[in-house]
Amino acid sequence: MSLENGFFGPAEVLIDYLAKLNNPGKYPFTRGIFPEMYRNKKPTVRQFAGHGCARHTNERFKKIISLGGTGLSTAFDLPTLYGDDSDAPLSRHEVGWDGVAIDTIEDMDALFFGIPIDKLTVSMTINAPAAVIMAMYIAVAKKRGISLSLLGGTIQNDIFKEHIAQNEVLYPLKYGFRLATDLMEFSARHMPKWHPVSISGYHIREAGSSAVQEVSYTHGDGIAIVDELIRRGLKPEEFAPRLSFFFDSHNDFFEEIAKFRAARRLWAEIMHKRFRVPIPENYDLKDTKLQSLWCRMHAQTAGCTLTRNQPLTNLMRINNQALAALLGGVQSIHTNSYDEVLCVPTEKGVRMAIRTQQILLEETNITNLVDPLAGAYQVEYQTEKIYEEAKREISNIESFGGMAQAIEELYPQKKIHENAIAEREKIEKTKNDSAKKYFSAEDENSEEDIAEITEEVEKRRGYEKEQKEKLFKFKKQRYRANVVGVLDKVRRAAEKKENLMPVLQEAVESSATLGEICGALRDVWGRAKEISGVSSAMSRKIALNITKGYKFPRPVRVLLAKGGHDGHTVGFYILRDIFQAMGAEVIHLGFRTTPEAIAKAAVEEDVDFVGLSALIGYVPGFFEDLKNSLRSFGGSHIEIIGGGIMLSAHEKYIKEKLEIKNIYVPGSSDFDEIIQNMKKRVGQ
Amino acid sequence: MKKIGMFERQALAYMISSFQKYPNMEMHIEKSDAWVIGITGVTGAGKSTFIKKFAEAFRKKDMRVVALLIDPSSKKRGWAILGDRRNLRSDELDCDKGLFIRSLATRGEGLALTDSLSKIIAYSKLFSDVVIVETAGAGQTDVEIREHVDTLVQVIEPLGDSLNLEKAGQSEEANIFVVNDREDFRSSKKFFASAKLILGEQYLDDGWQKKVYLANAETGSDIPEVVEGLFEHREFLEQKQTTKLTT
Repeated sequence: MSLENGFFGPAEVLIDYLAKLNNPGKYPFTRGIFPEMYRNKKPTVRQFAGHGCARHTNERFKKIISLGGTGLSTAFDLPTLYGDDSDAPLSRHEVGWDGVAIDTIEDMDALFFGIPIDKLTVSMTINAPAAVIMAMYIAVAKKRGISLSLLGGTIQNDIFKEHIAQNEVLYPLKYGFRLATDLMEFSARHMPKWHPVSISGYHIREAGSSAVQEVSYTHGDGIAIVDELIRRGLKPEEFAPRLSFFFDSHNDFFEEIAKFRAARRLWAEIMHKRFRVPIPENYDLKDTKLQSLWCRMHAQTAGCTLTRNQPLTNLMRINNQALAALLGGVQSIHTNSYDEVLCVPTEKGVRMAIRTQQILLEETNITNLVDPLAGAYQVEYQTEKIYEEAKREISNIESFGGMAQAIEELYPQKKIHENAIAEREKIEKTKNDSAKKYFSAEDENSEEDIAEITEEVEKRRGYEKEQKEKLFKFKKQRYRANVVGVLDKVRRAAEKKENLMPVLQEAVESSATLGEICGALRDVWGRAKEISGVSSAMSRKIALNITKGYKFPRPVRVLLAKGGHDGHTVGFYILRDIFQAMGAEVIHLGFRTTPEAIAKAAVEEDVDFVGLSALIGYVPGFFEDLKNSLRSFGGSHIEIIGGGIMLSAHEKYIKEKLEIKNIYVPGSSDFDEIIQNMKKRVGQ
Repeated sequence: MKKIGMFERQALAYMISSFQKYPNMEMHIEKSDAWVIGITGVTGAGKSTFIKKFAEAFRKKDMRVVALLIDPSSKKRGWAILGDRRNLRSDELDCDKGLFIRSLATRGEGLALTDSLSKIIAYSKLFSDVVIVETAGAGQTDVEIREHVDTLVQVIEPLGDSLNLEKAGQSEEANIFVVNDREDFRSSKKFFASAKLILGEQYLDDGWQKKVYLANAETGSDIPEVVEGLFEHREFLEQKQTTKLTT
């Protein structure tokens, strides 16, 4: 705050009401997209579910429906998100773990067995292979005699934010974007009730961006999508009403409220000024031109803010964040589960998350008020600030020629990394602050708190076998020649410019698997090129602060790799900058590596350390495999440094049974410890 | 398929470290007739992506390959980011035991890699049929690379005026030139045409006529022709060797 007093008054905050705020439901919609907001319709409680094989998730879906749920939200497992089948080498330890495993049309059918998909809305969180998954869904609907026009729901299908932040990518950006837009175009033409993209800032924020960056890059992605759909001959009002946005709800309470308000105004102005959607005279809610100006938002509370040592305290964080989203006027909310830093949410975790929302919606009376914070000097000041800064950042993106070009130049990736490492430095600085100690303190009875969680997690280890057996049987029973033929057809279609949706549908109907179809497209388009890194002069400077200038006495060699499919890179890149600051030679093997490939490289490179990050799946499995592979390549002397999301029982197992001492777990341990351990090993 | 065994892999990895750590280390290394190919070119020209394609081609002929990828160290703090290995990855290559990849940092002028490079290459030859050396694109090692290799390939980005090719010092020494036909360079065809006219007419002292190719490292188009050119140069060298022996 620039003011001496620490608060704002009428002199600093000039509110031009009609231009900057206007009434709720009126352009530029700062106060909400609907005139009555929650008085008319409460935000949807949309909780994400998915685990195991299709039948397990189907059971959970039916339970949600029996509890009165009117919408479903599907989480897919990591192999599915990467367009791989459950029997692929990289899928080991990941099948059915953090979502449901879908390999074939048969799985998709089983997932929605006995569920009236023409009557309720289904949301699917999947991006790179979204078009193939959608083709499976459409094929299942067709088989049941349901018209496409009746299907309602959302598929995330935002490939930009994957390249910017989450790295769940399959093809070079331009081809991945083509596949995504093929789906959007098809949906706009044939599925009037479907939202074919959820333009997401959530993952950008979770990767460490600031609130302003979150808004700028999300809207930047949105602009690129609108541009492309117009280029394909659609009018904004034919698709824009079906665009939806997905934001994070983080810790800085008022900043978050301001962010939601600013994002709405900015998007309305983009649609009006840039894409020439007129401001309607009589606001008819059914008018597609009016709807094209709306920034419909889904918000999720911030997973990255949670602590692992005292999971129950997360309930309060989640509540605060959900409250900010509610005061910011979002359309639907997903509250995280308090136990998600330990593992994929358990049933109890999900129940508490839903209760949190219900308490806010039913007991606080907030839903009877529309944008209650409007006019507060603080809130309006921050809203204006985020609006102005995001606008400036969007014009920076424009100077590259648009989002796709900016991503290719690594611009947003570098900006996010700089912000992430600066945040890390702040944490490192304040963690010994006595007032902050509570965050990492361990509860005495924490073992009891997570006993049930541990039990549920153990159950998940059987999914892989079941799914692989199912897939094996499926592959054996189908007519092979058909599959070969249809995959060839997919390749030929990919070479041309035609919309791929029809041929993808034909492929899934001919019993081609997800992995085979994505593979056929890869044959034509090639793999996504991995970026070489996001270090910048600024991030390296911060890394020097974190390491306090310590430098290895000799050129220490380190190999950094990630296990399995996972592409979360925040910790990975921070670690890389830290090693660099200490004068190490860092061999960057890249992502999606098998333990064998890591071990072979580690031995050939004669490294001192191998850093392995495994965030999702049966984490001890990754480390055990790496340890065994190192042994078989003759590299048992190489020390493993590990990181990942895991239960304390698993952490203990890795430390004691596998004898890997240096394990970094987000939300509990810190970099300092690792640095100290390395100093000990290498010498001062 | 021929393999580099577990103990050979360990020994090679360890010895490379030792040669680099103790540049003055004396050791008798037996002669080997393995073929050594050097790849030079500016940063970002696509060297390692070409090496991947070459390695795949050699592996198909069941030749064991050692790839040495050299990158500069930071002069100030000594760190190095060795990322080229990433460009040599694929499902087949990742666990291919007939392939050995090593990333090397130059470690500053004082500990110049050039002192140890000849030993590292000589030792690598003992375990392989072909050694591919990639240099950082600039500096000491680049100029001296000619001395250590049998066949020198220069990768060129089709940037700037092709007439400048005549000025560039390195191009005097290379046997084979590859213009990287990347999509984002619209003028690559034109550039290639003039590069072929300028360089392709030149002969090296030993009588070899320089070869110039246009190839795409990403898609692999025209790579077989470049590989064929590599083998032609090897045959040329072998023939010269035999004539030398008979006369």
